[in-house]
Amino acid sequence: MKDSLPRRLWKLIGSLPTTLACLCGLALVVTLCTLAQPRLGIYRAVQVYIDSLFIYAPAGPLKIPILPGGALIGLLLLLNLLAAQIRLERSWRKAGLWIIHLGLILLFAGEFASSLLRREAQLVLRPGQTLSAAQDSQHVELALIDETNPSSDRVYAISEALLQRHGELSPPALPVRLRVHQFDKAMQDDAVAGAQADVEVSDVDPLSASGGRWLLSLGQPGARFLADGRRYRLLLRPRMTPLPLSVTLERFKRQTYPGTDIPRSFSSRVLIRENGRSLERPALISMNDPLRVDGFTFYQSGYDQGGVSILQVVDNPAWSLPYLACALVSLGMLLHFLRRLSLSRAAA
Amino acid sequence: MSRRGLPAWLLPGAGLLWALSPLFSARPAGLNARGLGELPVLNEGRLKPLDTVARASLLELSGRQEVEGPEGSLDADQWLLTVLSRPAQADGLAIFTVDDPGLLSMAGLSEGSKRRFSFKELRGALGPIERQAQAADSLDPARRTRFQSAALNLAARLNLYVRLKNSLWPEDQASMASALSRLARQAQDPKSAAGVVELLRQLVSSPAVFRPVMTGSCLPSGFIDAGSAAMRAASGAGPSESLLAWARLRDAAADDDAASFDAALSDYERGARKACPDQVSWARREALFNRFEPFYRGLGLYLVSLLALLAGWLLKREDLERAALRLAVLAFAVHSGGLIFRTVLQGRPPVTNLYSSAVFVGWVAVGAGLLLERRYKSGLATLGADVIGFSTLIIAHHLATQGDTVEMMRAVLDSNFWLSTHVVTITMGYGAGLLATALADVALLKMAWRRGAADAAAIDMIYALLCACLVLSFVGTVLGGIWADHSWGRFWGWDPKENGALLIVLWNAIALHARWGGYIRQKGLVVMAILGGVVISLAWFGVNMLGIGLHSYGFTDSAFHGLLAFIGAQAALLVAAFAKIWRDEKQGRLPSRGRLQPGS
Repeated sequence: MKDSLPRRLWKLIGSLPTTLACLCGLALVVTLCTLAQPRLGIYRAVQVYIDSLFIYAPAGPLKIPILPGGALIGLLLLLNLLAAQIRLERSWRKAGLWIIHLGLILLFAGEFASSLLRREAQLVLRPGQTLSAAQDSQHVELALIDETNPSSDRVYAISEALLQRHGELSPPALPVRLRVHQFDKAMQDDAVAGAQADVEVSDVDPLSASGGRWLLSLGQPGARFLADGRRYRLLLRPRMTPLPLSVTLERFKRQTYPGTDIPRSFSSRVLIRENGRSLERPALISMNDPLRVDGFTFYQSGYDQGGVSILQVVDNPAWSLPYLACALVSLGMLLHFLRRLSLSRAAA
Repeated sequence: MSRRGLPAWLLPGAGLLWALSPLFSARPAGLNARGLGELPVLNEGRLKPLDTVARASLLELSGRQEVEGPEGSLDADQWLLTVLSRPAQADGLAIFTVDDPGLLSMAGLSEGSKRRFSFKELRGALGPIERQAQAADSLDPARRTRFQSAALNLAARLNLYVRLKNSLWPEDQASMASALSRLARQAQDPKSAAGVVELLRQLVSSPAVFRPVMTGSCLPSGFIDAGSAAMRAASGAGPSESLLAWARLRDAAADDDAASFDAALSDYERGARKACPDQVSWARREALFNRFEPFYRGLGLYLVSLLALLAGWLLKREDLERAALRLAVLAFAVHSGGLIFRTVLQGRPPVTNLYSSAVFVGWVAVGAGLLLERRYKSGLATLGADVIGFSTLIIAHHLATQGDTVEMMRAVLDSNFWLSTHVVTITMGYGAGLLATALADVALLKMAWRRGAADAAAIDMIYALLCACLVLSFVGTVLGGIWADHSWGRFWGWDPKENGALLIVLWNAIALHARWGGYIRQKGLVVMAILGGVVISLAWFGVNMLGIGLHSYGFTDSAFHGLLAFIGAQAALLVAAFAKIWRDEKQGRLPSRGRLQPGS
């Protein structure tokens, strides 16, 4: 009896030739991505080759897909693994393979989950400075700050995705109406190198600012105006992630080996105060020894002139999946190969 | 035992004697430079014997560990003692290797049979060389011409030599002791300060290569250079005991007075041992290790073992094959000894830089080869072990010309736990994979030129090694991911070295899945193992050449040529062997593919 088309397709997807094709394709894409890295930088190369469904070749104004990208191959490999798993013989003999493949599925799923859920930002701290929000080095936002109340600001942040759409922005929460005429962002080495936005505000009090239209640039103080009797400031800034705590840098220390420039250690002494608590506690963050608080992890990432410490803040709810996946695959491989080894010993 | 059986023990016996020969070698006559070489100094952030500084510097300058002098050859210690105490004489020694014809003509030297030139010969061209080097330095390394790279390299070596000459005391000061007494007088009588200021200026103008003077603390920071010690002396404290002792040593050496040199040396050693016994003992041990040169001796023994094995096969002499196995075991023992000493000395896991990774990859491959030999007893695994042991130690030897191989760990890598898990596992994977490549090379040669299927033992071994390589690479890569997650907050960053490790995993997964599905058999497995070696070599050395990412440390130009040669050789072997096999198949001399016995 001949199988139906979906059945045949499912069989093809779960077949060993598909596995081999996917593995070869992945090897090719990873090689291409690595070779492109000196030219494009790691971030762009990964976007072009790995995080994409297709790899395109530019042909004039058209982009022609010439190869499947890492995401497509990964997806196919995941389906292949699932299909093969369902068909795989359920016996002790194959227990090792079962565990390996389960672990691989979990590894793929985990990487996918963390690419969606993971957030990463930076704290750039001068000695003595306290911050309670971290800035993202890859994204910017348009911030409208209500500065009327001298003791606390009210911040409305507009994401990059909305800015890129251009046009009128008037969500109900926003106290003024904004129109974005132009938005540009330039990246260099995985970080924002510059950004500009041409923004018009409709309800500006004519006495406070002329025209109500500004060309805002990243790193500049922005525009101030009055609207509806309230004082506002509008600026383009790195996307801020509020933290449930505040961090104060006490001291950044960089040590080298005596008589050399070889860095020996970088460390930052900080004070952590969690929101709603009055007690501060000191902590030491150093290379290879991060600090974990409230689901956030703080890493020593770099430094700058004048004792400035740069900390990386990561929030990744899916952080444990790769650990679990790898433990499973390692266990499975051990089981499978040890069993084969003992079999071939017995045969010899 | 018949006369023909004699080499089975004779060869390994001779090998053992050679390996242990430094124990019986007498100290050269004259000044006790070897004793001086055992004293601890601070260099590149690490306390080490002066002997290590001497060897590393001489290797960097001339690519050798000996210098031809007017009265016979000098070892590294004797050379450094000459440089420190009789700089004018040292300037006449031919230690600078110069190959570039443009540089030679710029220095007014002829391209004769000579490859090495003395500082005296090059002195006239110092200005032009420096200017060329400065111009080259501002360029991207990839855009420099061969001449510019050579000029930059020579300028760096000349600079090192000049710094070395002035490391203990300014070269134009004939007597260090009289200069110190001037310093001491000045501390009491400020009127005589004029000459002293000039001396101090000279002392601090050239950064010392090593710091010899002990201040009492045994930490690395307790060792200071002679300039700082002289500053302290001039500021009223007077010259320290340690500084005076170095002055006695230098002045006795300058006068070629062996008796006073010995007396000064034993005085200094006694004082140093009393203050810092551990540091003095370790420096002494390291100097002894340097003298044994275990990796160089291992290299020689692997080569002799390889030759004995090939001779045994050609001449059908079983005694030579037995000798080869014993020599390989001896070489492995020497190799292990060196590896263990380095590990203990550094207090770190065995792999900390490119040099030590070469030593360790070879060690793993040889260990695995000898284990396989125990089981299969065909001599094939010994051959593979010898080839990999020899080549990895050659690689290490070439990497060692860039200075001391026991470097301090950069902050990013400073984690013994992860170095010993992630790095060691990954490099073990390299070792297993490269041994598989060596065996596959031999198997393919046999298939093509001995006409027929490879022997089952070879295929079994290759298969086992590919499985081991897959497991080790996967586990190692994952451990690397965990380290990255733990230290930088990301599990995977598509960094070139990570991609290299991933490619090794993928390659082995492809080979093994294709084998399990029956898509490849013996020949296919052999080809996959050979190409697997190419993938490993690219992941090991190739990605460092891209010059980006967290792992892009420790790359060398010479490694690039070696890498190209390796890949070229593998490609040539594949093409030649398959051309031969296909021609034979066409002419019906070989069973065609379909009738080969299927793999298990």
